[in-house]
Amino acid sequence: MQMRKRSMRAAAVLSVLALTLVAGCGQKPGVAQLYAPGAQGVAPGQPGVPGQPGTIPGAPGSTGQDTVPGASVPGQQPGATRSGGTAGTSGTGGTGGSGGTAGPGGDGGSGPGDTTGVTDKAIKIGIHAPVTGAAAFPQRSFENAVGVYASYINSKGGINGRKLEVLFRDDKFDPNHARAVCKDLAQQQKVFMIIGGAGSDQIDSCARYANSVGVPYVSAGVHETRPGLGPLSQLRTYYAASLTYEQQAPLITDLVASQFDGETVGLLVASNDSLDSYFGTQQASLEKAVGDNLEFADRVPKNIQSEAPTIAAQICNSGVSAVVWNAAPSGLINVTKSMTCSVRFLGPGNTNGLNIVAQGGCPQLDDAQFFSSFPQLDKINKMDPNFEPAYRKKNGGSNPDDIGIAIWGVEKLVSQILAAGGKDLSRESFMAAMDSGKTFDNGVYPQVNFGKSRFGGTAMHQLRADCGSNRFLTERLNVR
Amino acid sequence: MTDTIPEAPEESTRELPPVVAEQIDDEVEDAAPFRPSVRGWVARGLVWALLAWVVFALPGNFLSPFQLGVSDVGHASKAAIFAIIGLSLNVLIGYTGTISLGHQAFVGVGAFVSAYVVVDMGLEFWVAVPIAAAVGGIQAALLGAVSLRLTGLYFALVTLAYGLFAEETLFGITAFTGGEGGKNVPRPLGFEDDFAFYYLCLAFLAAVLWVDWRLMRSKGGRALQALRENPRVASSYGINVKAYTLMAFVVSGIFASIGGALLAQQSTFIVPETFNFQLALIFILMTVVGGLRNRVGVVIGSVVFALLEEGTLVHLLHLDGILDSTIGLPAEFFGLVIGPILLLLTITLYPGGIGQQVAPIAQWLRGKKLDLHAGKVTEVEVNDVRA
Amino acid sequence: MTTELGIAVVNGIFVGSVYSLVALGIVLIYRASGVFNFAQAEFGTTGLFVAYVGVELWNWPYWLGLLFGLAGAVAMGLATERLVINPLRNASRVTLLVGTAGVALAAIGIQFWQSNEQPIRQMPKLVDGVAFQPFGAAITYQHLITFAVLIVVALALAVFFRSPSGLAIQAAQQEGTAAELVGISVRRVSMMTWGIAALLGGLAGVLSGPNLSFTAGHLTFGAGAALLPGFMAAVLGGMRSMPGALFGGLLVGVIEQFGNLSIFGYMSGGGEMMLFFFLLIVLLLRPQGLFVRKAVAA
Repeated sequence: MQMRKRSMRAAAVLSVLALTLVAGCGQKPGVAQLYAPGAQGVAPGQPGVPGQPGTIPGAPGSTGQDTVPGASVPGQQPGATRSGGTAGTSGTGGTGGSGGTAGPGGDGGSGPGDTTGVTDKAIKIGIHAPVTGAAAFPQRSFENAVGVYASYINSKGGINGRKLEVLFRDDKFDPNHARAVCKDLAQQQKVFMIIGGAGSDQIDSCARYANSVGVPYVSAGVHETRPGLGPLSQLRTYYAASLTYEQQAPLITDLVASQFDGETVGLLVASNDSLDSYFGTQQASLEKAVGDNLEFADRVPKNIQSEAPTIAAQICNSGVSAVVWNAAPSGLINVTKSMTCSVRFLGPGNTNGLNIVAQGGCPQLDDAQFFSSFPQLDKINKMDPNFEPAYRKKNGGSNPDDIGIAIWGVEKLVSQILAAGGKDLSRESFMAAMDSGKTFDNGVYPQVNFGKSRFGGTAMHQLRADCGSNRFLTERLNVR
Repeated sequence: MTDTIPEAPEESTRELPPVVAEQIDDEVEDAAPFRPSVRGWVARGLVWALLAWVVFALPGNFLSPFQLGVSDVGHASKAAIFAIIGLSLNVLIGYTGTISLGHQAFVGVGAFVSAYVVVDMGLEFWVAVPIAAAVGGIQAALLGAVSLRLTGLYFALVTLAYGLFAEETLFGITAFTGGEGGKNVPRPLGFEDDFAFYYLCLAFLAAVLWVDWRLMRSKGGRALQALRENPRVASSYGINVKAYTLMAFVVSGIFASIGGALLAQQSTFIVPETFNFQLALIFILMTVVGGLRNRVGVVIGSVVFALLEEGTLVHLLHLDGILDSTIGLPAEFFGLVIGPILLLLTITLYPGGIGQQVAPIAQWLRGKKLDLHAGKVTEVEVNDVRA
Repeated sequence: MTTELGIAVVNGIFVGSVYSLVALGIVLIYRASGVFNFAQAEFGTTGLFVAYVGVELWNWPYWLGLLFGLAGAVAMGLATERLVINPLRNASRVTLLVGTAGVALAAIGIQFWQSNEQPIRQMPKLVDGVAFQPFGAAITYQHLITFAVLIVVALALAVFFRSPSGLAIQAAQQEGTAAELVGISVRRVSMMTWGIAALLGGLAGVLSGPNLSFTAGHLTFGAGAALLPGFMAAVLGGMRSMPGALFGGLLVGVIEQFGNLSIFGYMSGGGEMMLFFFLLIVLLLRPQGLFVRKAVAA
């Protein structure tokens, strides 16, 4: 009996201890400051942040923003890009994070800028992509792909004398997890900038987070806006290195109009809310070009499972010659497997690793045309002869795949921008290099120019599925 | 939590027979009264201090040789939240013997309601948590009222269907969840920082532990124990089986919602697809592996699984290289493959779970003799006679 | 609208025949071990992955690959019985349920890990091509074969349960001790039941796999999710009736397709909602199942 009383007392003491500790430590403002040193200072003070009221309607006091903030902010941010008011978001010692954005304004003389992740010897950058999870890509593909260009450029002496160091994180194809790994990259690993590898929701989520902590973020173009969260273009640190879905819509319409003149076509877009804007744009554009020949324009479920036969039947019953498709690739495979007719699929480059789709969707997918920011294996050696040897060298001779090309391309592009950022590289100078309107041509991606907007793509490569070889081939380069 | 106290004044609890495991200890105690020596007390004190250091100081980087970063402490917060969810499930599986295969829906409802209150209604987190808890409780009450007339396995099936329904249909309502792009959830004032937030989670965990502990000592708790052992006998003693099961269900729903609300705050961002069926299965794994009806065990089990899921545990123990090179198991898949195998080993070899394995240490820490056979449970299985 | 409904019914029946196969296995095991076998669908996915290895990776003839897949499923069933069910034979049903869920999760984990090189996979169909197209819905030969297999399996099970082995199974299920006394080995009967159930699961897997692309956990919560529908079908049959499970599967398939009718609307999860409310209503109004006349004492 006594023992039990004692154990109860011990528990009581413990919980009291817990509460005191919580009360004590919780409030202690310096905790994080003490242990999160370095130039970044993201977590702790966040003095500038409360100046963004209205992000959460009616909750002006919720300074909870510090770690989250910008993500919900975009609506408020447009003007701020240049005003320096956002500097607080990154808390980078008031360098006026927008110094670069403003171009001529420079750094305002308050020091070298934010040099997190940059030392005299190395530049540390991060990249996230799905390896496990629902729409997993082969783990090895990304592991092999990441760092190929970095080791290539490092063997050539690096970027302005600095070695490029690339950290890779698996985002599990989950926006929530993507945000967590980006937080890890930005705040714990303290990388200089982050690259989004694949997956539009993951890219969206991470881009908004990166913006909130002032970390530059580069990815392939995805959607432009998302209801409730606002346009990606208003993120101060976000840069899309290829055309967005919306920007690709006219290209797709041209392709449809030129190949299917007088025939009926359909449009199927996933019901993801991020694709609302693309759906509207594409539908309007197709209606304008083909008029009544647009037989149907519908949304399909995000994950097409038991619905696949119904969608297949709808396509075949409508008698269309072509379907513009922008939904999950695995869904496309499932639908083609239930189809009794053959139609041509076309669409924007929605994701890396198209060859997986080709392997799954053939033969129904024959001649499907998709846009892409990078060429396929058939053309890469002509466009960039360094790729294949570098890939084989890093990966013990294994054969390159299209994910390898995609990552090579984006690493190469980032390296060019880093080089343009100058010897005194900082996040400001990095972003200034992009904002300056300089055209970057890495020979893999179509030319990129961020002078006009954050969506820096100028063209796309056009791919065609070849079911003879079960892969996509590069049909045309630099379609505008 | 306040209304349970009048029900269970301290005097009455002392006299009542407590949980089975402790009863055994009482007998041992009577046979050979044991008092640790001074050295024994010092040793115990040191271990207590070490434990307190790991839980309280280490994640906050106090008196610590390690420099934990924000995402390390983020994992720690997540572990604390998982422990809350594990306790919630323990109320259901452990105390009532009914199983919920849709617990991801309960947690998700808590998360989204809290996020909705904070973001869309613009109220404080401190208001959002009670609201989320209330909604979670009501939801559990509704589902329970409709389906608790079904027996064990059928009930499990209904929760499974409910989980999938919530996942696909409820969480698909954009106005409520913010769509698949998710929603940003700002943390409460004073806890924006990851380190501070960890202590907030810890406080909630302590509160849930306390409520759980008091509740089990109350009339309702004793009734639950009785009806788990045998509902028919219990009802013949005048225990309203359905009412008490429903009560447990509601308590579980409330705990789960609190866990969900914290989860939303922890990642400061929630998306519907987080709350999938796999998550529900992980919740069950961690509770059963932890050891049903054993709070310490459930907490440890939940922490282990929370860290397994992130791969953190593997990194902490520097196992990634070894596993990858020996059996070609990459760290990403560690939780997926090892977790279920742990579960199978637990239920076949150690039905008492981690709680059983750590029982000797727990006993020793409470000032008893180190008895390797302490906590040995011959039959811990849930006796759902109704199934 | 008639077309759409027609498509839903036709697709529902053929998707439902997979559910029926899964449901038959669930009922079989419930009658033998009194457990809701959450690994039933995973027997199918495992069989499918094993068949895939045979057919696609080792280039075996298709029939050999199928047999290999079925053997893999049966092996998994027997291993489950020996390693999990038998040690837990005195445990409660909920513990057993957690055990089978653990088996399923372990299998899924291993599939994820092993299939990571190429996460999205596909198998050729047994016979390619479309047999006919009512309302424009494609009825493939694969669908017809699946349906035929279902009928054959159901008939075979009916015959089997009248044979001595089948009677032994039934005896052991009803009263284990008494069965032991008259010389029936409960152990062998249990293994036989799990073996047959795993075979049914394997059939569901290898026959439905080629209809879609598949990933790890395909029949549990992947594109070909048949676990919950299978359970519903079994519940419709009162958990003990074989014909009930068969018709239940077909019915659930059709109902799920009705839920998908709104698919081009803006509502998500129509199928899941239909299934949830349908299950709730059936369980509340007729807990003994739709296709049985009176409740059987459990």
